[in-house]
Amino acid sequence: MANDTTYLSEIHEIRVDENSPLFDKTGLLYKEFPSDYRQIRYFTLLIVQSAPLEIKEINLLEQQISEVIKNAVKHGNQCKPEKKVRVWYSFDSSHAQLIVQDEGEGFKDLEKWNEFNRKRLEILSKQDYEGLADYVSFRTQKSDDNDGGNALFAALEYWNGGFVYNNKRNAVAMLKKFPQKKHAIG
Amino acid sequence: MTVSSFTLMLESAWPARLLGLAIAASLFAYLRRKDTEGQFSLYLSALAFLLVRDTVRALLPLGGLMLVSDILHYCFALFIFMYPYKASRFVLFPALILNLALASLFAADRALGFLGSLPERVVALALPVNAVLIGLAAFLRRKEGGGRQIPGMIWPYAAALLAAYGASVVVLGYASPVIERLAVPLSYAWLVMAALAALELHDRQLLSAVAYYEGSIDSLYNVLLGTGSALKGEFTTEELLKSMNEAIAAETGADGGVIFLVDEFDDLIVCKSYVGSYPPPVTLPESLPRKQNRVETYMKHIQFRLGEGIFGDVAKTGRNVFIPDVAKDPRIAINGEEDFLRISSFMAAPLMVGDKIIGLVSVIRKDPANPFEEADFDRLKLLANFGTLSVSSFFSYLEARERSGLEQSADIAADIQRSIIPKKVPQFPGLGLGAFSLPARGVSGDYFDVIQTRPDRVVCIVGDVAGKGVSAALIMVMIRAILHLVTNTNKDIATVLNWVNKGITGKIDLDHYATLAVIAADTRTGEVEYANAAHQPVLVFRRSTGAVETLDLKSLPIGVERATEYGRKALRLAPGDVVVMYTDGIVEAMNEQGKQYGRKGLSQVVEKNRDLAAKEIAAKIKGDLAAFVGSVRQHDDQTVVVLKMSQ
Repeated sequence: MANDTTYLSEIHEIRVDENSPLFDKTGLLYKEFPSDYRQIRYFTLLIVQSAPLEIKEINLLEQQISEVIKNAVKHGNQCKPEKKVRVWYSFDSSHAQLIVQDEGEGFKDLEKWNEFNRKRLEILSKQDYEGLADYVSFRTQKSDDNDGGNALFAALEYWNGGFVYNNKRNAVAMLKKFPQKKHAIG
Repeated sequence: MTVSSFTLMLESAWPARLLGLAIAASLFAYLRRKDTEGQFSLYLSALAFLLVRDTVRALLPLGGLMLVSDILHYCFALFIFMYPYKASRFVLFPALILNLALASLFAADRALGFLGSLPERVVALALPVNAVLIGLAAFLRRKEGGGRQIPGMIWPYAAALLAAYGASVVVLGYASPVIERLAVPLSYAWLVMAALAALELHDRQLLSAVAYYEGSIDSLYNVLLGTGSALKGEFTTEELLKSMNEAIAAETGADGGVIFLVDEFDDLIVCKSYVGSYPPPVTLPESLPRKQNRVETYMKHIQFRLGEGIFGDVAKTGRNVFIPDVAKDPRIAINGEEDFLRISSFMAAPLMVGDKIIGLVSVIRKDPANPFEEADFDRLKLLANFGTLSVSSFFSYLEARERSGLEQSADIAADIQRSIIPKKVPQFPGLGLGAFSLPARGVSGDYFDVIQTRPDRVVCIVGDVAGKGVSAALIMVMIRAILHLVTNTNKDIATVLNWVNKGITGKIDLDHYATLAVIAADTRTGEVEYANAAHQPVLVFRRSTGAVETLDLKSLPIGVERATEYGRKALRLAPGDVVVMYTDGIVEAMNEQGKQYGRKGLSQVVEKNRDLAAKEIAAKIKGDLAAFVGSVRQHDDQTVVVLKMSQ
C-alpha cells in the first residue's frame, strides 16, 4: 500500500464466476439447514466446531460464517423454513473454505453493490469524510432496519482468498488464508 | 648470456638487492588479502619496478640507467607519500611532471648527446630535492589523519633515507662502489619499512576488531540480560520491549529510543515503546500544542501506514537508516528549536525474523556536537538483530502458552465428557443394548446415556452439544443432570425434552445448543416412545420385512427457543427389531475419496448383522466405520447406541 492508486487496485469486489476453484467441493464436509433465523447461531457453531483450535479462537471466523449464513437465510430464502441452506466447508490451520447455497432468486443487486463499494473505497482513500456519509450503508427496497450491507464490506476484507458467486448468484464460495505464525524462527 | 657474464652477475650486488626487494614484496603480497584501502599494489609496483631495474642493470650496463630509474623510483615515493594528503596533491602533480621531464631529457641526452653531456651529479640533485619535498609535505599535513596509514607512520625515516641516498649520489656519483654496494640497497629500505608498517597496521586493525567485538559482545550481553529479566518480571510485551529499548539506547549512547511493531492486520506500524527523550523526527500536526508532555505523549502512541514516512519506510523495506546530521537530510522534519523538539542525529534498524519484518527500533541524539558515528550504527544493527530474537522467542512463547491454554481447556472438556458417558450399558431379558462413543480431538460434543427409570423401562438418549471447550462440557453436564432428574416421570417423553429445553434456554450466557434424540422403551412389550430435538433420525430395522425405516420428527434444537413444544411418536418393536441412534459424526464420516458413510453404510451393517446381539452389532458398526474412513482424520465425535428386542 505504497500510495493510493495501488490501494485502489487492491479493492476487493464480489466476483461472479461459477468455474472458480473456490466452488470445487471435493473433500469438503457438508451440512444443510432449514432457513430458521433463530438457529443461525447454532448452525454456525456446528460448522465452526470442525475448525482446528488455532484458527477458530483467535479470529473472526465464527462471526464471518454466521454473517454469510444469515444472508442466505434472510435474503436468499426469505426465512422460509421449508427452504434449505446448504453448506460445504473445509478447515485446517492455514485456510478456511466455505460454499453457502440457498434456494432464493440470487443476489440481484450484485453489480450495484460492487459499484457502491468501489465509490465508498474511493471516498475513503481520498479521506473525504463528508462524502462518506452517503456511503455508510448499502440499501435496497427489501432492506430492513437491520441491514446495512456492512457485513459484506467486512466479508470482502475477511475472505482474502476470494468471495465468488455462481452464475445464478444463489451460491457463494469463499476462502480465507491464515498467516502462518510470524514469530517462529526458521 | 655467457657463463662468464653469469658469474659476473652473481658476484655483483644484484642478488643481494633482489633478495631485499623480494622480502619486502613477499610481505606486501602476504598482506594483500587484508588490504582494505587498495594501496599495496602501488608498493608492489614500486618493488617490481626496482627489481626490473636492477636486473636490466646487471645484464646491460647502460650509462645513465641508474639516474633515470632512480628519478622514477622517487616518483613512486612522491606519489605514495603525497597522494594521501589531499592538500599536497597540487604540489605532487607538477613535481611528478618535472621529474618525468627531467628524466626524459637526461635519457635523451645520454642516447643522442644533443646537449653535450648533462652532468649526472647535477641532474641527481633532483633526488634530494624530492626527498625534502616528501618530508615537508608529510610534516605539514601530519595532522590530517594519515597516521592510520603507512605513509603517516614512516615518512620521517623514509624522507631522511631518501635524502641521504640522493645526497650521496650527488656527492659520490654512481660509479662509486659505496653507492653501488651500500647506498643503493639502503635506498630500498623505505619500502621494507613500509612493508613492516603494513604488518603493524594489520596487527592494530586486528586488535581494534577484537576490541570492537568485545564491546559488541558486552552490549549484546546487556541487551539480552535486560530482555531476559523482563521475562522474569511482568511478562508483558511492553516490559520486554522497554528493556530492549533501554539497553539499545544505552549501548548506542542515545538520548532516546522508540520501538515500533508491525500490525499485520491493518498494515500499520505502531509505537510500542518509548524511552529517554525522543523528539519527533516527523512533522507534528498543527493542532498539537508544543508542550513537552503533549509531544512525548503524541510520540508514544504514534502510528504510520507501512511505507509512510521514514519509519514506515524502514518497516516496509527493511533498510537501515543512518543520518548523522539531520539538518542535511530532508527525510527528517524539524519541528522547532526547543530541547524536546530537536534532534541532531538519527538511526533506525528493522527488527527482522528471517526475512520477515516485525518492527523497527530507532534511536536519536540531541547534541549536534556529538553525533552518532559509524560504530554506533554498527552497534544498533547488531543489537536490533539479536534483540529481535528475544522478542520473537517471547512471542512464540506467548503463542504456545495461549495454545496450551486452549488445549488444556479442550482436554478438560474431553475429561468431563468421558466421565459422564456410561462406561457400561445395562442389559435386559427382553432388550439388549450396545453403544460406543469415539471422541474427536478438541470437539467433545457427543453425549449418550441410558437411564433405567423402572425395572422394565429404559430411556436411551443420544445428543450432540454445539459449543466450545469447557462451556460445551458444562452444558452437557447440565443436560445430563436434568435428564436424570426428570426421566423418571409418568409424563410422556416429549415433556422430558420440554423440561430440558426450559432448563437450558436463556439461563446462562453461553453458546449452548444441543440436539437430543430420546427413546423410551418398555423392555417387556417392546413399546417405544420417541422424541426429538433436531437430532439425526433414528433407524429402525424391522426383522419381519428386512427393511430399515427412519424415525424422525422435525424440531428445534435445545437452547433456541424457550417455549418450544417437542413432539413424540409411539411405535412397537417386534422381536429381533433393531433401533440405531447415532450422531452426525457417524453419517458424515468421510473417507479418502470424500465420500460420506451415510445412513446407507449404517443400515447395511445392521442388515448384515441382524442375527447378532445389540452389543455385537454396535461393535460391527464401529469396525465397519473404521475400515471405511481408513486414515482420514475425523472432525466430529462418533456415537452409536443400539437397542435390539430379543428374539
